[in-house]
This record gives sequence, C-alpha cells and structure tokens, in this order.
Amino acid sequence: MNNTHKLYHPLILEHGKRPRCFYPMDGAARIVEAYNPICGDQFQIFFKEPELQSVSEVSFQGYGCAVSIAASSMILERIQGLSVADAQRVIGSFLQLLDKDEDISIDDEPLSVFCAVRENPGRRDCAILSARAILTYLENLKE
Amino acid sequence: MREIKKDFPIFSHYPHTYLDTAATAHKPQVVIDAVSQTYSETYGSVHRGLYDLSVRASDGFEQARHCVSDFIHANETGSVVFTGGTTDGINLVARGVKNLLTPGSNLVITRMEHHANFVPWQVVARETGTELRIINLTPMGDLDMRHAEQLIDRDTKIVSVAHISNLLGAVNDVKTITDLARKYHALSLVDAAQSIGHMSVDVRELGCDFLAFSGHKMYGPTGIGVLYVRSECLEMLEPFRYGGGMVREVKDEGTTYRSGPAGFEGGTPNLAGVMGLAAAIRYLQRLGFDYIQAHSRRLTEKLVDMFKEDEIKVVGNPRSRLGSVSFLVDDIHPHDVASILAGDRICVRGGHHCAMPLLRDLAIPATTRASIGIYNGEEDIHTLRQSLVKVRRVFS
Repeated sequence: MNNTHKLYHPLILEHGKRPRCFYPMDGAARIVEAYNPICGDQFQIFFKEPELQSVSEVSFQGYGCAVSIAASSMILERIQGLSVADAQRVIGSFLQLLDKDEDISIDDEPLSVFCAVRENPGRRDCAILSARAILTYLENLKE
Repeated sequence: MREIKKDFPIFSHYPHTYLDTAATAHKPQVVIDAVSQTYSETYGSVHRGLYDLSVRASDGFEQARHCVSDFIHANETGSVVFTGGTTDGINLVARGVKNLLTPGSNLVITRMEHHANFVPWQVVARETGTELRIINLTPMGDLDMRHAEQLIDRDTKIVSVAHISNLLGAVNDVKTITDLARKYHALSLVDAAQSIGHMSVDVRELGCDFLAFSGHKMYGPTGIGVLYVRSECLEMLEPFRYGGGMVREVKDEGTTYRSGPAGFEGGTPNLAGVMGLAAAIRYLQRLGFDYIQAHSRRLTEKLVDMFKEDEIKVVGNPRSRLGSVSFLVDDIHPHDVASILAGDRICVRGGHHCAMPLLRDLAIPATTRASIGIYNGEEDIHTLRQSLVKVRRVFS
C-alpha cells in the first residue's frame, strides 16, 4: 500500500462522506471562514456562543475534499463542549501531529488517523484548513 | 516516430505518467544541455562586455531572438521581447498601454482567461476608470462570438484573448476576434501559453498586435518567456521594467529609453533561459508541428472518448479542443482524485486552474485536468484509466 492509499483511512472516508456537525447554524454568534486559495476549499465554521468559556456548539458547511471535510468534521466533533483552553490544546496537538518535522504521536485515537498526512505533504493544507482557522479564532478570543 | 519519451531524462530517473503539461512541460536533454553548456562554456554578460565571452553571449542571445522570431513568423511584422513568462508579458502590455485607457473607454477579455490574462486587466481597468468587458462562453464552452461583436466597439482600446483555454482546452477563433478589434482600431493581445507547444503559431495569420507565451510550457526552461510586439506598437508601448540595459541616456532631470525590444528588457537578461528556449524551439521544429499537432489532437480526443466511455463528466464540449481536458469523477473532489492518481505516479492537476471566473460561471468549484505533451502515448491514457477505477473503488 502506498502513502496515498494510507491517507484514505476508513475513518477519514467515512467522515468525508458523512461529516458530523455539518450544518449551517441559525443564530450563530460568530462565523469563521476557512479558505484555501490554492485549491478553492472553503468552509464556514459557526460558533453558537463565542463569548463563553466553552465551545458549546460549533458546526460547519462548505466545499472541500474528503481530507479537509473529514478533518473539519472530526475536529469539530472533538472540541464540541470543551473549554476554550482544552479546545486549543486538542487543536494544537493535532497541528503538531501533522507537522512533518515533529516526530510525535497523540493519544487522541480518532485524530491520529491523520498521521498519514505527514507522508503526503501536498495534502497537509487540506487537513489543517479548519483547525488553523478555529485555533486563530480561539486565540483571538483572549485578547 | 521514435520514442520521444527517451529524449526526456526525467522519465528514466523517475518513471511516471505525466499528464500535466498544461501546467509545465518536462525538458528534453537538448534543452538541459543548452542551459548547462551556456553556464559552463559560453556564459558572459549580454550586451555589456567587450571581452570575448560577452561577445559570444551577446551573439547567442540575438541569434536566439531570431530563432524565436522565425518560430512565430514575426520577422516582417514585429519584434520579439524576452520576458520572464506569459504573466510577465501580459503585465508588460497592460502597463504599457495604460496611458491609452481613459474613463469612457473599455477593454475586452473573455470568461475563459487564465488569471494571468484576467487580473492585470482588472487592475489596470480599475486604476484608469476603464470598463472591463468580458466575452461570455456558449453552453458548449466556445467563445460567444455574437457577444464579442456586442462588446467590442469604437471605445474599445484593447482585446486580450487566450488562444487555447487552459481549463477547457478550447481552441479559440482568435482571428475573428483580432479582426473585430482592428475594425474598431483597438489593439489585440493573444495569450499563446497553451497553444505554443501544440500547434504552429503564426502572428501574421492571427493578426494580433501582441502575443505572449512562456518557455516552460513548450519544453524550454522556466523563467523565460516571449512577448511579440507588432512594429507599429513598439513606440506607443510605455516601458514596464525600468533599470539597466533599457535606457539610452540617464540624467538627473530625466531618462530616455532605447527603442526596439531592448527598451523593454531592463536588467541582466536570462541568457541561459534564452539559449534553452532556442534549443526547445529547434527540438520542436525537428519533430515538426504537423506531427505535434496531430499527436496532441489524437490523444486529446482519446482522453475525451475514454472519459465518455467510463461515464466521467468532461467539462465543456468546444468545437475544437487541444491539449487539455478537465473532468469530474462522480462527486469525488478533484484533489482526492489527483491524490489517488499521484499514488500511482500519475501527474494531473486538481483545483481551479487559475481560472476562477470560468469555474464560477460553470458553477463548478474545481476540476481535475489531464493535459497532453509530445512525450505522451496511448499507454498513458490507459494507465490513467486503470487508476481512475481505483479512485472510484476508494470512494464507493
């Protein structure tokens, strides 16, 4: 099996086909845009109550490849209900996991399926698209 | 015809199926040798030194200019300006004609332009208050000539059009467009980036004032391109890149510029790029464009037929298609298609192909594109076909 086929782990394919938290949110307090101008993938990420200390409800919609949709779906599912600080930690370690220069693993079983992205650097931007946008947004909440 | 792939060393160093020539073409050994020999044997300052190496470099540089001029049949009608590539050449013209553009005038492009022939005009139109007009496509993906007739009028200053669409592969009826432009005393530019490696390009037949192309899409080096300028337009074009080499006299109070192509070639020229480009031209001329065009057309048609047989949606159905075919595999994202093909060492392009206005018009976010080069054969299409079965299996 070559690197590309490892990338399409059954869990990634499953989330790519049936993403969780994939709906436009009525009455969202904040909408964050995740956009990759190179490939055109574009998501809107909806936050119900950004002013609180926790990510009470978050959803997304938009257009992307299986990898970017699956990563968005799994990240959103994972941070749902977490405190802002915990959500940042989860996303931070996810981004670290995908960094080719960082030889780490995470104990976050579902998200670790993205390890194969390290061997497919051309797809890294797909996997981190939403994660990066969410992290930037959460970090700015502190200011 | 002998096996052309053997002329391209990358295929023996890294065996793969290359179907991305519309993005950039591989290089034959003769081009690599020409670049290497320039640096190792004949390198020197062009037009700036009195020593022998400089003289030889300058001679080689000007011979290459003649070679390009012959190649596009420009000897009697205009000049060859060396640029950094198609984008550079179009920007040169967009900046160079800026003084002609005034509020109330218009410039005309088409819906199928690459961003390189879209954004420079959009910017210059905004800067000058000129109206930017965009020729629509027919549902098949050809230029809507009736719309072109409506848009090009006595207030049109320049019309800029792709010879071949990089996304649809549509070969445009450029002559009708340049005739329309001339009828209203408007200038015309042809973006030949996608045609130059597939067919004989003759500026006399096209009837254009400007024509731009890149070396790297026609098996030459990157970083070198050509802008043809019709003789009558050389004087009216403002310089674009100011600096050394393009000036006649520089004084505190002002500068005068050299006439001819030199006035647009500020800075130390890309000698190795020019020599590599000339080598690419000689290589193509040895193969002959009768063969090259027939080969491209045959494989382009094979691609389309294969997609249709396998119920893969081909984007557009223009009257004439050469080189590029965009396709959609069910509802699988083009990046996923391209990624799985890459796993089988098949190189295609997935994405917006620097043609966002066209994709928006087609209501498609992205496509996968296979494009043909002179080294491709039917076996490459067969390999692609096999791998596309795998794509569908992964996403079934």
